[in-house]
Amino acid sequence: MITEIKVSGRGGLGAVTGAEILANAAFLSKNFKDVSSFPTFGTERRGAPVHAFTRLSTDQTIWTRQQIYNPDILVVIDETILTEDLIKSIKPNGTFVLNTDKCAQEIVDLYNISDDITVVVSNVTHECYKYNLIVGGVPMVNTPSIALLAKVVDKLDLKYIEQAIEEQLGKSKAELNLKVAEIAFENADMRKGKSKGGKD
Amino acid sequence: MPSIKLLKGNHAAAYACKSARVGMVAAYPITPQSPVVEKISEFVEAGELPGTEFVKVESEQSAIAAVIAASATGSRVFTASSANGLAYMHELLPWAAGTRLPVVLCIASRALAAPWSVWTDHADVFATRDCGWITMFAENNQEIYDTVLTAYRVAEDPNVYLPAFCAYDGYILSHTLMPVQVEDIEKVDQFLPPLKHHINLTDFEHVKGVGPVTLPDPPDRGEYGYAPGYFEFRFSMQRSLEHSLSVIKQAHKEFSEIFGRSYGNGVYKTYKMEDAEVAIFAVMSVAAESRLAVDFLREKGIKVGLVSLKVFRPFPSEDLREIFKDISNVVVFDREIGYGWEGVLSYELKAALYKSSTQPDIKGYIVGLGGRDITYQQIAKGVQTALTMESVNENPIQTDFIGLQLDKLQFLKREGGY
Repeated sequence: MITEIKVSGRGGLGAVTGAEILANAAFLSKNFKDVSSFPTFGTERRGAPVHAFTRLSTDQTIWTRQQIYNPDILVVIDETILTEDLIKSIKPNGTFVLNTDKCAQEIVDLYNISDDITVVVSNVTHECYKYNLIVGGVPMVNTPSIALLAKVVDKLDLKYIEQAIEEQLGKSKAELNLKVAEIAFENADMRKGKSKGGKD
Repeated sequence: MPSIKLLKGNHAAAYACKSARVGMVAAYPITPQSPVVEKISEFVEAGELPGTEFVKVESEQSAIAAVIAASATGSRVFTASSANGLAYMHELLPWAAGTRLPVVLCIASRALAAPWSVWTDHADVFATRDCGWITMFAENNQEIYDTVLTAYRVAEDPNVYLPAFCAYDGYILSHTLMPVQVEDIEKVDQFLPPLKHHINLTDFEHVKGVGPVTLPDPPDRGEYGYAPGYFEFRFSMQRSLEHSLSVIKQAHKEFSEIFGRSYGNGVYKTYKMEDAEVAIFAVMSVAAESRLAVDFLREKGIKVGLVSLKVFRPFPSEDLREIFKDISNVVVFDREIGYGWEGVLSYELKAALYKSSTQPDIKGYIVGLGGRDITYQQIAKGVQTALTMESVNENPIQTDFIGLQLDKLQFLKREGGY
């Protein structure tokens, strides 16, 4: 099975790096046969919407090279880029992970999200400001948002995401990221999709 | 211990250069190639490549000139480029081949301007076709690493002594993370022994220069005998290139014995061709995506297979005649155009199968220019459409395209269009 994940944010928030950390976490876990990760190429500018993709395969080599149009999991690390089309692009029984100050049910109501979609939310931006995870005036929402994936991706424990964050940033820089990631993870709110999706 | 790393395609190429212990690297930055040489310069700076000279240059033309000169002193050299950077090297590409220098050059493929595009297609690769270089392709990042090693092995073979390209899709591989096994250097040494060059410009006693003026006819040099004319030099280049096909196959065989990975017969790869009646013919990213199209079409009961060309020059015509001998239809997907004619792979295949006893129908499509995404669904549709055509072998000056979005463009609706 190949799980297709799309990470969306704005240039400068680290969506591309987040998608790569995710691929590396799955790779480090040794629970996946193949992984790949790439951005929507060449269009990254600070402040502009940016999308990055990660594929995790448990059983087969990944040969497809196309972009992910209908992700199993959509991760949005900046709520201001949200559009109806983006939410509608999630596959049936898929998962929506969002950095927001609202709870899961509020998001479901606000965006009219169908029953089959699992919704995971956490106020990552707030935690970044609270614990001063700020670089150049920008809250580093990517690493804590990616950590939320451990709640919904089978065979991907939080410890591997943390290990991948450490590899990406180096031990000393990673420390605060890991702290905020754990808090964002603990404080996450989830609305489980009706037929399947989400893990206990 | 060999280690599996998560690497982008450009970095896989850089690691291959490290494994090959390259002696000299020169390159000029261009998107999407730049991270190849950035990584190599990191290796050099960190002292991980003690025997490597990294030369900074002011243009792509200088980069290729520098590696040609260094190669002529007997060093194993590397450079990389894309699109217009590669086009700027063009004048010197036949110099490397004509001087019989085993230069290895990675192409992170990208559309040629104008209009400006930084995204992938294969126009830059195929524009180098007639320069006398060996041309190899990769479908994934492991294959980039493996192909760079193979390229050195073949280029440095005393029966070849020709430069080689390793081409892979810009962004689609160059900037995509995939697991890559980086081999122990001792094992790489076993596959790729130190370069025994046929030429050493620093040996002033014996070597007086390279690339002399050659005459239309062989001049008589008295007691030294006749010197070859230009024609003879070029004849031997062509013969060596033809002969390199068997060298490539042998090198690939040894590669698979040493490292346990293989890519078809080293010249082309197949997917589900055993019982195929219809075949897709493609390279690089298009071939990779076609694998999904094969599975998709087989679920619909169409016996399709894929032939993914790995070596474009020398063109393996005999291999292709053999693999396509029981095939009724070949559908070719080109990510470039031989402008004014059709996709390059398409017409090259037609030439290779001319007068082959069981000639299949060959239908070509143009896909994915300038980085337009290619989906397996589009490829599958192209195959299905081709199968409904009565006969597609009448020279189609009108090329067919898949994935165009002309309906979004009002101006194309005017009379005469385009």
